[in-house]
Amino acid sequence: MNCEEAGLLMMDALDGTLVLSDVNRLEAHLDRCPVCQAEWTALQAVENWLGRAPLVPPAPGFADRVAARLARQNARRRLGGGLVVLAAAALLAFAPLLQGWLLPLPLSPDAEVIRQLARHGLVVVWHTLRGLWIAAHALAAGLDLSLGAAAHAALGALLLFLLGLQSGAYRLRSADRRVQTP
Amino acid sequence: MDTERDWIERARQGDQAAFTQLVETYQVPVYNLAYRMLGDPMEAEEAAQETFLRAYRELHRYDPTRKFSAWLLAIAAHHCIDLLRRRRLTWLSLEEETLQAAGWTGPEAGPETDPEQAVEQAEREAQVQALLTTLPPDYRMAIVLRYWYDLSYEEIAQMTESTVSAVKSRLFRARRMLARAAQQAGLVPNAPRPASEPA
Ligand SMILES: [Zn+2]
Repeated sequence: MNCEEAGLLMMDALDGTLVLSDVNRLEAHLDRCPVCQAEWTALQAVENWLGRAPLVPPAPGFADRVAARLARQNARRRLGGGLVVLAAAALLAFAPLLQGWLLPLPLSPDAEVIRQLARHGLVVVWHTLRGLWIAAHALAAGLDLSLGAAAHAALGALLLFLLGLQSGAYRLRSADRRVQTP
Repeated sequence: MDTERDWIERARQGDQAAFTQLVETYQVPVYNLAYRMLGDPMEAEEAAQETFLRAYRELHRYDPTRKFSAWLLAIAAHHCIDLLRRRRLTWLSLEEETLQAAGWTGPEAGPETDPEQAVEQAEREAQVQALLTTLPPDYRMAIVLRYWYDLSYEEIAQMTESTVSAVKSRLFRARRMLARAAQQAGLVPNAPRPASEPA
């Protein structure tokens, strides 16, 4: 047996998978090869140290430190989410202005009828809801409250609904304006 | 384990108290892995914390048919390997110093061990840790997973996204490197060399 093969057998011996016939061959090689003998001694010593080395625990209070970091992280994320929503709400609030500047607005044939309705109903509802929406999120962001997935979905749906109302109301208002201009 | 599955499910839904239970349960194996890999208590603390924060974020990707401990340790392993690769340029120059001056005092001794034994154990611990730092990251990981976590070649291969034969050869070389390092540090008798090797 050469030293290379002896090395492989040593690994099997450390793993406990060396068969008896190989044990004898390895021992025979170690008896007459001082280099492999020294390596085998060192390997066994290392094996022994590693086998007895304990699991090192973290300093006391580790779980609390993780929990604190997690809480901070979640708060930051919620705050970020709140700010995005606030920005969206602000954008929504100024949407009529943007729409007025950017889009040519077609008139609805029923403009006059809906205009009346809008004046007295929709516009009031719209402004109320928009106010509530902004207030809720300002509060949530300010107080650092978690809104939860369901609440966000509900508010998201509300946002879309308001967006619909917004453009409806604006169309009416601009229809109004066009009727009155000439 | 039913309670563990329950904790995981609740943590997935954002229950931080349930997640803290998981941290309590696995803090020692996760911290130990980081400590053995990085060799520094402060860095290990930071890496172990980061492991749990990542686990919390990635909890929706956890496959419940796998062992949670294995999933968690794999996150820790990847993170530590990343950290070590980032400081790869420095470890080569540090290994000599670490071997000579292993400053760590080891884990606290139990009440029943006498002081002399405790000192001896602390010394051996410091030596083990110093020897580990002589290994390249991949080799070190194979050794740590094999000896502290009793994982089979197959399990190590799975955890490190490697093959069984690659793990085997890594362990083979890692053990040899450790044996050589122990010889060079004078921890075991040196191999007889034909002349001219200083004692
Ligand atoms: Zn030999």
